[in-house]
Amino acid sequence: MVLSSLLAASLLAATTALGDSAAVRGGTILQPDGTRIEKGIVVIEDGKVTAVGGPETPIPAAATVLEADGKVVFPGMILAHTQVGLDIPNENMPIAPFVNVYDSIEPNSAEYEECLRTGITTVHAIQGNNTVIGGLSRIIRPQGDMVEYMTVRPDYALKISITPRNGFNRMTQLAELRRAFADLKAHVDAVAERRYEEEQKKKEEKVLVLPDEAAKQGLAHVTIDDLDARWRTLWRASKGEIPLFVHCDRAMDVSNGIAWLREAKLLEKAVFVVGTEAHKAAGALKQAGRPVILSGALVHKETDPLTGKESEVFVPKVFADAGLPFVLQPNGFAFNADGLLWYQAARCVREGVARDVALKSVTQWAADAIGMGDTLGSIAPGKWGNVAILSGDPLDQATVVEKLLLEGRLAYDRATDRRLKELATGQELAAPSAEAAPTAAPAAPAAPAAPATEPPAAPPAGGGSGSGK
Amino acid sequence: MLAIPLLAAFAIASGPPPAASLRQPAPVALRVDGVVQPDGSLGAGGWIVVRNGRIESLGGAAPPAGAATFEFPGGIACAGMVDVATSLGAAGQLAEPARAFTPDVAAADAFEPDHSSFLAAARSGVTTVALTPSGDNIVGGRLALLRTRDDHGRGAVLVGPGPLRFTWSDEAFPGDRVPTSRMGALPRLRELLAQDATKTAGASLVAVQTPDQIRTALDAFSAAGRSIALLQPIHPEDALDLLPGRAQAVVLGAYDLDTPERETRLPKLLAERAVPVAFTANGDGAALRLTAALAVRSGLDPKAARLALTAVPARLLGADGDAGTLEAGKRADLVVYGGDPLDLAAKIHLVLVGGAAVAKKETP
Amino acid sequence: MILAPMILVQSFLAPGALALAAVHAADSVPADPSAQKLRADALVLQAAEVHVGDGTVFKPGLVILLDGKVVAAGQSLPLPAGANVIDCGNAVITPGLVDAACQLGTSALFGSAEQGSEVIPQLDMWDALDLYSKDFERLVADGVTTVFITGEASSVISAKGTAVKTGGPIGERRVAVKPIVKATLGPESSQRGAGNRSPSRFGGVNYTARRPTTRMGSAWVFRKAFHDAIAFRDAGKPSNDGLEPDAMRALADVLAGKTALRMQVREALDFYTSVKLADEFGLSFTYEYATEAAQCIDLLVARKLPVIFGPVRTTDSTFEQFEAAQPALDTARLLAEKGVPFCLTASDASGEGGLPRQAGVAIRNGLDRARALRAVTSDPAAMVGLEGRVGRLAPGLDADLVVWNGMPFDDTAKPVLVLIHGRPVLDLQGKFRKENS
Repeated sequence: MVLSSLLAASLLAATTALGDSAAVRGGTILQPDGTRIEKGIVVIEDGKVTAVGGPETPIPAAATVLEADGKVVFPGMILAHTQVGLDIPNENMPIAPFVNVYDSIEPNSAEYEECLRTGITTVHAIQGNNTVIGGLSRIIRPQGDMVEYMTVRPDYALKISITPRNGFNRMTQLAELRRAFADLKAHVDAVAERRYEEEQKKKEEKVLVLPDEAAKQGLAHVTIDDLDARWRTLWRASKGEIPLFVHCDRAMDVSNGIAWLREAKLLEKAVFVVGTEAHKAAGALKQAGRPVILSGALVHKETDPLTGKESEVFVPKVFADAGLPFVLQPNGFAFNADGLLWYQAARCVREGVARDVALKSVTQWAADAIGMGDTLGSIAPGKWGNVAILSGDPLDQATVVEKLLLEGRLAYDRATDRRLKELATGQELAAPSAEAAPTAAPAAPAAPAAPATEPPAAPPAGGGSGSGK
Repeated sequence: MLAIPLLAAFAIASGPPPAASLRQPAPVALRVDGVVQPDGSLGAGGWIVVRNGRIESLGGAAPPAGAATFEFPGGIACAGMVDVATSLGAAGQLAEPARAFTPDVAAADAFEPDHSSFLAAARSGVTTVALTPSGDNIVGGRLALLRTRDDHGRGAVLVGPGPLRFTWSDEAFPGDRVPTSRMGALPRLRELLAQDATKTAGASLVAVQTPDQIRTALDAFSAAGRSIALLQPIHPEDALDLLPGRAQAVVLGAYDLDTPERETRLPKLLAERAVPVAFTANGDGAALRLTAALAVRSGLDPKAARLALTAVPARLLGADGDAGTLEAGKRADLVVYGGDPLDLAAKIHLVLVGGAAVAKKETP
Repeated sequence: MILAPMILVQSFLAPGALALAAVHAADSVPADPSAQKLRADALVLQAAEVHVGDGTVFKPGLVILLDGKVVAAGQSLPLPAGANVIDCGNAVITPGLVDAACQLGTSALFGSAEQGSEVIPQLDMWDALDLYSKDFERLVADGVTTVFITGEASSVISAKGTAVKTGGPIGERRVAVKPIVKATLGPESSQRGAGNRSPSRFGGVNYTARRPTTRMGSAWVFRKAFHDAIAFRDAGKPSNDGLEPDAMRALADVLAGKTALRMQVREALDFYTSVKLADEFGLSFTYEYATEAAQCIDLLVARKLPVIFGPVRTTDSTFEQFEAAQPALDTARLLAEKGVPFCLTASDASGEGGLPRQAGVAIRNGLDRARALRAVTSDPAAMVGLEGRVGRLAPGLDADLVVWNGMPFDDTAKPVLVLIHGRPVLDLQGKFRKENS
């Protein structure tokens, strides 16, 4: 896995290489927990942060320096559960652990480009919630011409929904879920029995046993290659080898989900993906002690059946007050307001959630939820060099992403963001021309550092997807 | 217990030959232990004297000489119930959906006197009803004011035209007819309300649902100087404070045991704001009493509940000169209950409509 | 006087701000005898910043309110003895926001628009309002205190708009406003409304199957209606198109300039059609929504046409289905730079797409903060002729104001106290005790 990610990193087609090492100098380094280093320095070598500190921090001589005076340096944000960039997010079969989101990812999607523009450096692409058992997910960088180049972790997690998919009720949903695991066991038992007999054949004296015993003894000999391909992923999941992203829309789904996960001994592998009403199960979720990803709609609206009064609850505030870490998602994917991840965090602050909680919910806690808390989510030595240079505080209305480093490489530069100009002005711009670089130069001191040996820089992202809205 | 001698003394509802005895000068006197007063309270009983179809006196210590006398130990007399919104004998005949404004349509033209539903209404204690055009039109036509029995105790009788029925809820905007919106309808409604042809006795009966329909209806009718009664608003809570002094009454019901508390509390909330309430249950006396009893259970003052069955709807229909309360000189539309009319266990002992007793059973 | 702020100070004050505020209040205690002119029932709000709405900012600032009107706003004012002082600490006070082209709070949108005719300028949106709509609560939560509810686009020439306050007693909501009628260009009128099908060969044209279905069709309806109105006005000639006399009288008022005209346009070509049509009848007008204004900026500058611009769409809007849903993000900045008179509208959106967020998006895309505030307060007030009534915290204007728990239009800030006519309609932190309300 590490190998593949290194390979991918070296093949990031659209990034502008800054050399083996880079440093961001002079900005205010802001960590999700609220700590700040004024005029700080971040050193990134071979894709990883090697030093974070004040102005005295030594910068390797070979490093390309990005000046960030007056800017805010913030870790790249993370979409911990998203269908961004997928063509059709849901498979029609209710039990489909054998599908793989790999086949759905569209590298050219303008949505990945928008991720970079809004400071998102890591995306966990997973299929939608309208399923019983969905396919395998993938953690990717939102940039690259091929899925392989984008991949951070392939075949990462499995989607399971406790909330009924379309056309199912709650009973059939759980019955289907249990049946899938029962079918898996039947299949594995059958294979184990056969393997037992095969093993017996190799031995001189054969011991005849009952089928159950044969299955039990044969299990040790079963390898994943013995199984029908349809069952391989689920088998791994059943053994706790794959994280489960468990969708629980309502509070009652949370309790059903926890009960099922305990029964399947898989609670320790679960990440809860919850709807707004699930805030009523904040206590149960806290007790479960597993990461919680909130839906994009942050406000729960309800009409009291007796009095007819409408009420609204700001969901993250409930989780924050309960001391339960949560992860935010954008609401849909739009160009403003709640389609943006930072905006969701800003809303939390608006509604009284502490700033550090709001910031962690889009960085460190999101990294924790995808099992990469040691690798992503803050700017620290040993973590990946995913760093955004912002024009101001990440929750400030007027703040924009000026530059974005993806594992130490310049993946986005607002000064040369051609599509942004189209979005802003509504004008179709001409194809990138030579004059783009000089105009960008004064605003982006780092740009000249781009080695001339690199192939001509493609548009910052998205490859050829030029068609505007 | 008293049915046989009573039927002999009063006009028998459908017994041939028609009882001429009703117009006899000799009075009939009823002895009851309680009377529902014009203010809705329970007053002391005594002798009620009926002559020529009218109440001659109430509360006397002794019956007049020569009167046929009947005694109802434990009985309480109350004015006959009045229901402002029924389709008795005309079910399915009161909808004329072709046009939105039909002020010239009259429910009286759909009136069928001998329909059995009138007798059923009379037996259940309902003595006056209005036939009410349905809610398909913004202006739905004139109500027809009826007594459920005629002077001879036979079929129902038309008393006269009632007020106009309006509908200001979504029902009046079916979408396949102009106007399609409230905004489009208001100018024409204002125009009609300014015309004398729409002036009637009693209050215009306006069906509304939402608070804002209440507000706009009140505005339009008070601008034209018209008295308005709201018919069956569903959730008027937010607009309750607009009603005092502007709505003559609010017509509610029918309630049953499944009706949510949120609705059965409305009569109480209205009464607290001095807005009179009338109950309606399509002429079914038992359902009217149940409605009133449930409203009382939800906090309505029992006096207001009794008036909501009698005096308030009578006034809405412009019939309060003759009906709605037990007072000397008014028509003898009365019911003797075995107790408080709000007590559902109290049986009906006697129903008089215009002094004529209503038979409890069909005579073969 | 010194005690009052101490008592009333509530939870959102930082301790430092509390001390400052108290000191400030003490400084303001007047020796000036003119203060006695103010009655003791005046209400005083003080905050870290008071934005008047015309660009003036007092830091810190005071606003004095009496009888539902603003008496004064300033940095240090003589206070009436015994006045009720509410200290808002480090909050920011602005005028109540004004939306000049709101489409909320009516029963007329989509489902129940008047389909009787394409031309209904004789009707009044006041009659379509649902004053009990939850929309008004949402607008108050956004800090919007006055809305002009504009005609609805399912008619080519729609009804007169109406102005209302978003909160307070029902009987005091309506705000008298000069008549404004709206025309809608482009095919939108035939896409909206209930049961509005295209006419077929069999059914013919009626109110559920209407023309126009094209741009040229709606332009024709507009043109024909004004021609009919002229013929009716000059020669009493009835419309052969079934227009009611009242409708033609209302159009004659537009021609005479007694009723103002708006044109709802979205796509660039409709901008040009609107100018052509207006010129044919000598009409002046204001643009509504003007989604592609950035593409037509030269036309707007040359013709000095005012624009009620917006909204940048969000998931809150039901209008996403219509064409040219998303404007260029820096349109507001462009309009400001080019000197085009404009204000911002949220149309049918509230909450995450509401008017404060529209201002926020404009700021994010380069509009100056002070100009953004004007674009949602005094500018829209002027667009509907209410500049003497709302939109600024100036003496004699309505005491409609918003207290924000941070910098207005920042995503991390929201209204925590909203007053209309000096009375609280939103009070998230309980700053108003019972006796104040």
